[in-house]
Amino acid sequence: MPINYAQLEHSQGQFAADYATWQAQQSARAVELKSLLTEAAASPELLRQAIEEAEQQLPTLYLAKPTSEPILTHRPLPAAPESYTLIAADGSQIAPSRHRALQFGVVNVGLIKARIGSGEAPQIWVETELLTPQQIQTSEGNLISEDEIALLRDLAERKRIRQAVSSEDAEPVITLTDGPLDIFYRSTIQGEREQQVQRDISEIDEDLRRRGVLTAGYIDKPGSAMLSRMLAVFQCKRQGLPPDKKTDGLNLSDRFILRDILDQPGERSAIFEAISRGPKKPANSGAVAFFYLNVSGAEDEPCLVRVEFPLWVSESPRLVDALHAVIYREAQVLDSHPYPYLLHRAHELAVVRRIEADEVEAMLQSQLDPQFRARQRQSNKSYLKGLS
Amino acid sequence: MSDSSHSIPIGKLLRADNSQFVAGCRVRELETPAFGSLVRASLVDDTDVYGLITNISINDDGLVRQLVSGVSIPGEYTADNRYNRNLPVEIHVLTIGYQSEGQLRHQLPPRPPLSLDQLFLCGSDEVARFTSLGAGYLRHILRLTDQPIEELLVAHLSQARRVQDSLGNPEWYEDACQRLIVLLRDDYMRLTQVLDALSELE
Repeated sequence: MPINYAQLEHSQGQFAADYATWQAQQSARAVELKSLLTEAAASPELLRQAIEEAEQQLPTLYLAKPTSEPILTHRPLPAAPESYTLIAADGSQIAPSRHRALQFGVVNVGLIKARIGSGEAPQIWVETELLTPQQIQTSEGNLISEDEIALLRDLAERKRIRQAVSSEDAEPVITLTDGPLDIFYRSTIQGEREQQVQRDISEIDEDLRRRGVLTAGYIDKPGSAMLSRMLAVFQCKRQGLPPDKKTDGLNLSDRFILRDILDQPGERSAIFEAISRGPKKPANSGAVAFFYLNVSGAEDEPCLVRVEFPLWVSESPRLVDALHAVIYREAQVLDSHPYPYLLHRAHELAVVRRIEADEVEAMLQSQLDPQFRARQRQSNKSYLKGLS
Repeated sequence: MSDSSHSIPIGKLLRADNSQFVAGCRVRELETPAFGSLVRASLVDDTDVYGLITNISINDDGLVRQLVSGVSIPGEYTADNRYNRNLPVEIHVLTIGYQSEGQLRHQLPPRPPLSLDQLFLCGSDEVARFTSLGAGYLRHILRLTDQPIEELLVAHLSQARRVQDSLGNPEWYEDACQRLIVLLRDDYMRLTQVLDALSELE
């Protein structure tokens, strides 16, 4: 029996009670933060000063910074362009594992490109890259971590997107990936390899910007608390405290704060700049903006997602409207569980299942010298797990 | 092996037994096969297995079911599901004969075709050749219990009749009807249904 259900049954009542308490605390925090948001909206200059001071003083920072739009903005859904090009990419990977007989890594990217308005079936690609032994090792000779291979996967997605964009594409050209646009947020990759990835990303971003391509990141059920942190800094400023002074109980997912403001299907929030600064963050990474969007089709069930895009896009109301309308329309294709259709399809194309990873391993093993192959064995732990 | 110069590949075999088999094809390949058409699976040992398409089924999956309930699906995404996604159309075939070492027979083959064997739609020359051997193969159709055999007979006999008429054999269709009457002489109810359906060809 994999789970001791008798033990779980004993503790589930307490869990429910604790969970209800936690939810009540979150609701109370949401009320508090909504009130603080209203107060911050009434004092935009104080808010601006608070954030600028935090930017100057704090080495690590992750918060929302207002742009020219008032922070309580809620924009209705604009009309979508009649024709446009939408490209979605998603990646999957086989991370190297010492428990396998063979240490190898694979990055798999699924890409789908639709010319909306053409009536044609989208084009699809699957690109599978076998990483070299050098790529799957750190400079110390260890196997690279899940985070590092995730970074290589994200980089591969961006490269494929750039290749897929054509001068014949109907404008606007919008690209969509799953997750934040800043792909370094979880990376532990260091040294020359990190710098090379940074150079590649910067070059791709600049190239896409030059070609007027709107690159967007879609974050479903977002958990980040950038508004909470913005309000914490505001609160500290108001109270005359340093910006890093912890204000207990203020961190709460932004979607709980904006839920009541974006109560109409298709509404978006104000545009904020994502201020992200930390030891993992490259100094030359592009500025990112975001808005929250209610992708729900029903008035009484707001479903807020975060849409990230390069800050330069926010300077063009036409492009922001196009992004706003296209993302909502795209999510509404799967209307009972709103999520961009093409992004789901890219995931469907990219995902590598366990059985496929095993097949790739067998294929690679078959290419090894028989004597060498005989010495490559999976770990006993892995073998025994496979028996159950 | 048959002269396949006029044959059109329409799919590959998914599963089979001696009396029937199922092939898969993509939606974009679905323009040619039709209910009641004569098809051929070519085996690696130079045996050809002949059959009639008794059913064509369209599969679904979770995403298609999700899209069905959606209010607004761009035409591009309908096309994506039809042409890009890996949802094969299944072509069900009733085996009605085979050819081995140049000899055509209206009997079940010694072995069924194997998975991934190619399925071809037979051209007029192959339909003529297969049906010219007589209408004895119709007994395989009459054994079906879970299919609309009257409709299958109408679909197939209209094709075979057209081919035989074009070759100057108008009596072929009459012989086939006589054969059906003989085969169904002890099942008046079914014979009535079959003749009623065939009256549409008159």
